[in-house]
Amino acid sequence: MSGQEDETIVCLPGERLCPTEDNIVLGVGTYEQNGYIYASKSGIVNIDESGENCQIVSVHKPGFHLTIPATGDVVTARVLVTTPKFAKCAIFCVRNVLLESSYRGLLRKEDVRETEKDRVDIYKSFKPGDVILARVINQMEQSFLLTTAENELGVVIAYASDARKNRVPMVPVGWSEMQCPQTTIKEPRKVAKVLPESSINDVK
Amino acid sequence: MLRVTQVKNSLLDGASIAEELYSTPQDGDNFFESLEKPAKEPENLAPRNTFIRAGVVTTVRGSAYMEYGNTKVLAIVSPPKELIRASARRMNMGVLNCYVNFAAFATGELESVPERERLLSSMLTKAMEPVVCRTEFLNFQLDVRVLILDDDGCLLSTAINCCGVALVESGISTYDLITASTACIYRDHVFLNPSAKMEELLWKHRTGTGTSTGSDSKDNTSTKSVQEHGLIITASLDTFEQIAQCQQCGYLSPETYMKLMDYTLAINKSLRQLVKGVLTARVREQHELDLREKAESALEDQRLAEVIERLKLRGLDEFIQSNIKEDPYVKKQ
Repeated sequence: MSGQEDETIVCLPGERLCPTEDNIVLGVGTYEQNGYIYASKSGIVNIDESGENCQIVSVHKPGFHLTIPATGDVVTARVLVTTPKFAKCAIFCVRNVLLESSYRGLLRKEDVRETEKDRVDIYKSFKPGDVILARVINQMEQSFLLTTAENELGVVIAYASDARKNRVPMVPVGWSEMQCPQTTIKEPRKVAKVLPESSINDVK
Repeated sequence: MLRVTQVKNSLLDGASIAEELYSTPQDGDNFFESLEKPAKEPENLAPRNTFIRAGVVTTVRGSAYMEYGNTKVLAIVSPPKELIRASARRMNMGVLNCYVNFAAFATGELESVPERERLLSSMLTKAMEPVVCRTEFLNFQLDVRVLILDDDGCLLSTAINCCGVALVESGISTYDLITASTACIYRDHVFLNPSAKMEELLWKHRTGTGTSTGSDSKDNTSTKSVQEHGLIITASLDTFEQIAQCQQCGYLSPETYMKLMDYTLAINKSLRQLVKGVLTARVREQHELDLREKAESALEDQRLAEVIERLKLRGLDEFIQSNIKEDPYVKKQ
């Protein structure tokens, strides 16, 4: 039992973990009060010593999480409405966590592409119904501000606008075009370069 | 863990007994006589038989069920919602809303239900606000719903306890574990964790109809003009020795007030141990599930890696890569 306990330290909210020192960094699920670090979630204490002469104390909660998109997160969203100036989206996935309820996202015209920002047309980049990958820049009062100004971000799944009942997702044929394999119609989109998993692993 | 007293709740037994609840003050006297009176100074500062379980509702991420004696309560935490502009108060903290609802069969008196629901909701919200780290979900609104399945007194304190467990279960950051308990004094008898009938009696007394009981006992207590009677609900956060909420009604002298509060705090301490035990067991249980899931997904990953490897041998990888062309705009530079 004692050997097992060394690996997993269970803590509950309000439990004192350790005193604050210069080389100890607060991680997820902790807060500082009166010179001590306390847990704010129930879970397993994690001490990460990988950093240079500093330790990260965090609490990992097994099971469910309530996730809220944070600045810098890559999110998956569905385009709902497009206007000349912005596109409204519904965020339904943060990183790899599927959300219970969708959050509002706003993608402005300036944030669609990295280069040639003034030549961007929203209607040439997105259509309602597209599934896009985007990064959260900021949280505004009522919605999250998104950007797709990266090669890896943009439209992932899209259907041709004249598609009938059995819809087939379009295939990217370039950086700004997608083609329907059935009707061979080409439509403009801001296409995301989705990296194959194998190449991501190689980078790591 | 299961320590439930299987006493039939008389409140549920139909109209004949519901009428007993509406007893006139005189009947109240009779009722008080029939009550089992605790000692003037309670020695055993223990909570009622309690059963708590986290994660009872599988469709929601944070839920808890609690039985406190015959009082049965279910709490659900729904995912944070965005604030609508109309209701968005300009503040640098998230908004917490608690809703209390009675199940249709929980109580006999249906007329007073909406009012009680509103009262309990607002008090519960006030009690829970200090516990939740509201800075972590700015511009969001967190809804906690409580369903009362059975009412046998101590409703608010049970609801607070149950909500506390549900919040921790849902993974929302909280500063501490919150526990609450109720104590009341009536005719010099201290009742810990008063039952619904006791609360009803106090309520009658408080609303003025109790004057007859006052006059009745005038002879005994001629020295005291008004008899002490009242109810205290205390919710505490024990790590920092803080009190999240202290609600009091009735007439109490400062000494009695402090005495009752000490009693409730002592009960809170022992309840806290119980809640801790439940949550620790829950974390261990979830952790084991997680480990098992991880092992399964590792196996799946291995299988997929083998598939990809096989595809690579056939040269399909290049096909995938060649399909993605370079960004024309980047190329120009």
